[in-house]
Amino acid sequence: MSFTTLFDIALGAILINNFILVQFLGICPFMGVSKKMDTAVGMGFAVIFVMGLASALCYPVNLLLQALDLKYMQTVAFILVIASLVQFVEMFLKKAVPSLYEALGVYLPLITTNCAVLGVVLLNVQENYNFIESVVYGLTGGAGFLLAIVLFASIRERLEFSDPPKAFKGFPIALVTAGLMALCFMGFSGLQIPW
Amino acid sequence: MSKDNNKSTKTKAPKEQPKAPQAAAPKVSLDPAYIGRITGTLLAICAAVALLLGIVNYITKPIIDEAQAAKNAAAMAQVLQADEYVPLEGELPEHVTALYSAVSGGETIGWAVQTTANGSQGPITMVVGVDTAGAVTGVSVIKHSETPNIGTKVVADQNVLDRFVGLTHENGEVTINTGSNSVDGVSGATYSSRGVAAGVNAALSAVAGLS
Amino acid sequence: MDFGKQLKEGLITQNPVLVQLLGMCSTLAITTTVSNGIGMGLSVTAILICSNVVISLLRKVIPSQVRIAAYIVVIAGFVTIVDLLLQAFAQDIAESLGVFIPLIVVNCIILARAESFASKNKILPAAVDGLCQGIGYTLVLVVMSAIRELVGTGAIGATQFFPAEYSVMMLTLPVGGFLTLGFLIALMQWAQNKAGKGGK
Repeated sequence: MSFTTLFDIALGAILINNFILVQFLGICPFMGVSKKMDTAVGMGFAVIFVMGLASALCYPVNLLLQALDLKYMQTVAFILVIASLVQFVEMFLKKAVPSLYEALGVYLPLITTNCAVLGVVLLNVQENYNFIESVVYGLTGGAGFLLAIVLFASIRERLEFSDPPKAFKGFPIALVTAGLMALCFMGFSGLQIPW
Repeated sequence: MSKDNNKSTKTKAPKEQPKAPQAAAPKVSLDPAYIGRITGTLLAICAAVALLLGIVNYITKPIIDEAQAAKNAAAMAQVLQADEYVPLEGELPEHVTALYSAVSGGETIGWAVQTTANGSQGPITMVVGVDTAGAVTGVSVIKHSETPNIGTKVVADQNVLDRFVGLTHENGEVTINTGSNSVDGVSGATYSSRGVAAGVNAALSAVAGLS
Repeated sequence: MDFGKQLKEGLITQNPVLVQLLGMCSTLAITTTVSNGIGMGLSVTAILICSNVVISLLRKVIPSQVRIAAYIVVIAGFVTIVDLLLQAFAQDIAESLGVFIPLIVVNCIILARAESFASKNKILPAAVDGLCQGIGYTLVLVVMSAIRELVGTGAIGATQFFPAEYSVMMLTLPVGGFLTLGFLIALMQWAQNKAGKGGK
């Protein structure tokens, strides 16, 4: 495990296999929170934090489950860890950074059901990453989420002033926009580190 | 977002006990009996779920293991026929998930190497047969998540996989379409082709590393 | 409890994907083939019914403070059961659905139904609600994957309807997923607008 591997993982998570636009993990908050730039940015950073921490916490949990031959309890264990983690983050933010807590509002507990958080933990297990690789994948996966949601929010803010056909107003035109963004991100799929 | 399951974002100021840490749903009491009740209920539900899962796992695990083993055995027999396959112990090189020596009539006639490499939509797990001269005897894909009708034109088409038969590492690593040791890929499925090539290279390197 | 009404809600007026806009991750990701769509749809329906029944059974016992955690544990339990059963008896479906089977746990539809319906109703209506919402979800999955597979590859399963050279391969890629779902929701909104105008 070298810097190259970590850089590979990071590049993969942010660009080549972007969590939202390629792997489809985290669509619900992506669509729900991207109407305004500030909430999008706040949500993006919150997700980076939760994904990194969840990867870190679930690594020893996974080792424990493997040692006890309880692989089938993975889903239950991971989701419980994530739910508790989000709960603590919420309580912490409320005390420490109340403005951010107010800004995120109801979206903070929704990170529990963010496919990207549980997804990154499951992918860490599937890819057999060690601890550092898992945390890097978690953090950079969140960074990819932030990138996609910020780009999307900037477009959506302008969409507010456009005039699509009546049937397309709201979600449909946003989905078409996301589709075009996914098309752009396809351009990264050939990206490889030469060394 | 039309969800409404907030755990504790109803911002009612704590009315009674000033030491209540959560300003959550109305009247949160720190009464130990109450805490005990909710913890107990939650633990009971967890225990019931764990028990149920344990039972289902107990029933299904042998079936799953058997199906997997049968698939592996069939794949190994397909790439390199032998009387028995002896797993080799010790640390496995990168990308190699299992290494078996193929024994027929008491003699090692080759190796069956199970490797995993990245295709276009995730890892491709394959078994590569290598004979004692270091040449590929066959490739069989046992697990993949390639796109149907695109990537599957490589990983699910034995004719394409057979293109790797006979390849060695004499002229360098196996590559797709270009290079001195190349194999024709499938147009439109370059990443899947490269994934299989990477798996084959890992197998050939692993066998070379044995001797 | 009106089965007809609940069915209509699940299929049309309160369709979990097209109207409530829930569960989009799986809808977009796995609808590349019809068999995937059917497999996922049936799995989610089964989990919906089971979790709705259990949560309805326990609705008076689960304290409100920890109800979300409790629902998640119950749902995760049923998801794992379905996961193990699929791995044992339908390996091909399990492989092609991949990581999205355990991700059913965080499929917003199941949690939303548990919170908004199952925790407030008796067992039978809750089960029927699970069934109807599940049918609505499966229907959307099947339609979407039929479009994406047919136009994207020219074939559905083993039957080739037209030569693959004339297919729009883009539809099988992530772009196609977003576009197809966008157009389907637009279709639903158009139908709703029309029904609204007709003074329903």
